[in-house]
Amino acid sequence: MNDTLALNRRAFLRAGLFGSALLAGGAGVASLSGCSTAKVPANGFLHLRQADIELLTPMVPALLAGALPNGDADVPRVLRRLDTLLDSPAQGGRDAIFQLYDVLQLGAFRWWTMDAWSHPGTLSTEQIDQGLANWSRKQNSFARLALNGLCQPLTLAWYTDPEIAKGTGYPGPPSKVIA
Amino acid sequence: MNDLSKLEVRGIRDPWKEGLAAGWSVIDSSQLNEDQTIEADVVIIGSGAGGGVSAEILSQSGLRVVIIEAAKLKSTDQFNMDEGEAYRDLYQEGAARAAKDGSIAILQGRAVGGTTVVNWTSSFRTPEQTLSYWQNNFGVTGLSRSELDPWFEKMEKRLRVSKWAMPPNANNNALKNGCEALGWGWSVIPRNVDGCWNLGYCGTGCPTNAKQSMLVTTLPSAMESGATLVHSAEARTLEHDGTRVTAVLCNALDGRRQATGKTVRVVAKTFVAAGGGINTPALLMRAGVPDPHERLGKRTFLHPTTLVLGDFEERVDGYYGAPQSLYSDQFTWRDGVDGAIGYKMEVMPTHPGLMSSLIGGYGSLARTQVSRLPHYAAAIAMMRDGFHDESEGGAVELSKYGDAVLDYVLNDYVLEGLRHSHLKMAEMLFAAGAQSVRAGHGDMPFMASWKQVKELIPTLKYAPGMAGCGSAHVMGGCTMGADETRCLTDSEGRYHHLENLYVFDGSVLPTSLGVNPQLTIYGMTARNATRLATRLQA
Ligand SMILES: Cc1cc2nc3c(=O)[nH]c(=O)nc-3n(C[C@H](O)[C@H](O)[C@H](O)COP(=O)(O)OP(=O)(O)OC[C@H]3O[C@@H](n4cnc5c(N)ncnc54)[C@H](O)[C@@H]3O)c2cc1C
Ligand code: SF4
Repeated sequence: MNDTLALNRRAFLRAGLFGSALLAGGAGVASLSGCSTAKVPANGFLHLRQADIELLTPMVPALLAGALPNGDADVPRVLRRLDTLLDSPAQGGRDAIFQLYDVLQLGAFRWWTMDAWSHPGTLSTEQIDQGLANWSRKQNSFARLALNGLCQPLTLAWYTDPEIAKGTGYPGPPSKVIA
Repeated sequence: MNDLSKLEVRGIRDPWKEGLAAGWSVIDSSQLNEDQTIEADVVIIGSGAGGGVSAEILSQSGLRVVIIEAAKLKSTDQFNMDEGEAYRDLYQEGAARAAKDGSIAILQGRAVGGTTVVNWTSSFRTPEQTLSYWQNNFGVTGLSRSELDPWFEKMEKRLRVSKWAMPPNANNNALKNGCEALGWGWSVIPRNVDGCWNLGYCGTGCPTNAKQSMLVTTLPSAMESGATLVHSAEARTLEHDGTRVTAVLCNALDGRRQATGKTVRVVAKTFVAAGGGINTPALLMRAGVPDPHERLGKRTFLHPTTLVLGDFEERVDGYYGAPQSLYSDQFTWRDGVDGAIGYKMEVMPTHPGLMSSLIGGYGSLARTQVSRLPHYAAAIAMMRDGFHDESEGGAVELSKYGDAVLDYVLNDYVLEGLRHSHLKMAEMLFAAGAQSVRAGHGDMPFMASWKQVKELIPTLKYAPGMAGCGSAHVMGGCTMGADETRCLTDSEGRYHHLENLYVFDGSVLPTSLGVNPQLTIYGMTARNATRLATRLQA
């Protein structure tokens, strides 16, 4: 583990995932990941930046495997729902999610969590799935908090889509007819 | 339970639509083109359990009341049982609020009517043990169980609280079957409902008005008595001189919760903070009110809550039917009041958005588990935090944007309770006939026998991010009591360091409760708001 990463890890632990404080080394992470300039949302998005989209696009088919009725074609819809979900948290909470996306741009962080230095965009779905399996076995609180921070908002965003919700066997709610 | 997706909910009144037509005084701040100043006798910040009860009592006593609420007004006609919409429109931070380190998901309402609009209707009086603990440890006076009972009775009548008489849904029934098989105690939950359709959508805003939330009870009656509701307005700070508050300053918010740039300033004689745990302390922190012993936001409690799923062969359909109708106090006082952490057991509804994110994980394993959703019973245990030296709760902080953040660390004292409750709820669900069981821990698969589970759980690592934990009950942060070095309000809810500021919400609770909080807040607020009304009329 190199020193920079160890430092960021502690800082991150303190900052928390949905937490408020910026990473002590936040600027450092951003510049390391090469996305310090890309603070603006991607075209058509409220919050997700182009770098996040490039990071998440290859990961979503592994993260939501079996839950995408149209396969990879559903990924843009997943990202839109995630983007909408990320509009509601307080700014500080949202920052923490983006710190996670930033830190995931670091090869060293991916190596520590997923045993893979490479950007997900260069990996196959199987390789990403394997990486996530490594990550999910780590007996380390920080790593697991980070994994939850990656998975949970995506899951919540996706399964609150009424159509996707029905895929769980849930018949759906009654309908409301306004008088 | 029958498939309810074909059912139509129709013929329901919307009290706010009618009230607006009849001329209720409602200001939608999102539409303001100019800054506004309003005058009042009393301004109430927050329209939830504490705010709603205060509004009714104070306005009926003839005072000019203004109610401030950050959320946009949303009422019965718009309650369409869509989970995603409800989280976005009716919950704090779109239901994505969490403890600072991300280890505890925190569900809290943000609505006209506050958390009562999305709560699950369980209505318990405060346990005697809890009230005695406050008396003995914090110098709380006048709030013994016998002194509070008349106030509970009054609020139970007002909000139609009675034990649920219909058969429980299969989710709740699993708790009963498990407890009976093991010889554990269980009982029926009193609910604040009137003409409940037994649908199960209490968490997304009751579409039938059966739930006696503040939105359809105390707030409409306050409006009838001439109160003004200012919604889409977030109180950002208080103007004060260190002894008295003179005004509250609010930001008008647009549909995306962003400040529009317009402000609402309410000048009043008396101020009631009723924003609930986390939010009330945050407002007072932003306002820089006197806090000589740095107690603001400290001792914030959560009833840290664990989940265990039992997979039944038959369908459970836990998303349908009254969400909570049975409970067990078998382990609530398992080591006395102030020993190892005790917990109350109930169940939670299993709507797919929330439940799939609680199931957690990713990929094909998560998918396999989510696909059994209709077959799950979902038992929960709520840890009674705050009764032990090692249970100081969390501390509210302000982010650099001035928003509230809760730093709550799951320490070994609480983690022991998480593990204990996982074991006991797993045992209960097997006893109820589950074919496999999984506790809410990231390293636990579904397992087919109690013996396997009993062997695995003691070997798992219990740490933040590994053991799943959530909360729907935020309490404390403005501790009530006589000891000014540890407490911020007196037993009547008056802030110790400002003459005309009162706190009437869950943030005054000195510890967690050991029961779901709403009736405690209703009863205490009814008492303290009545005393305030008398004082202001004198
Ligand atoms: C999903 C869920 C289920 C629950 N089920 C139950 C149950 O079955 N039984 C039970 O007893 N309890 C239940 N609860 C908890 C219970 O409803 C709450 O504890 C209770 O409503 C808290 O009351 P309160 O007055 O402290 O604040 P709240 O009811 O939370 O109201 C506070 C209001 O103030 C507003 N506000 C806050 N700050 C500001 C500000 N600065 N400016 C303007 N407005 C502000 C908020 O938007 C909110 O609407 C549940 C909670 C949840 C989330
Ligand atoms: S169960 Fe009853 S109270 Fe809850 S949403 Fe349905 S009708 Fe309303």
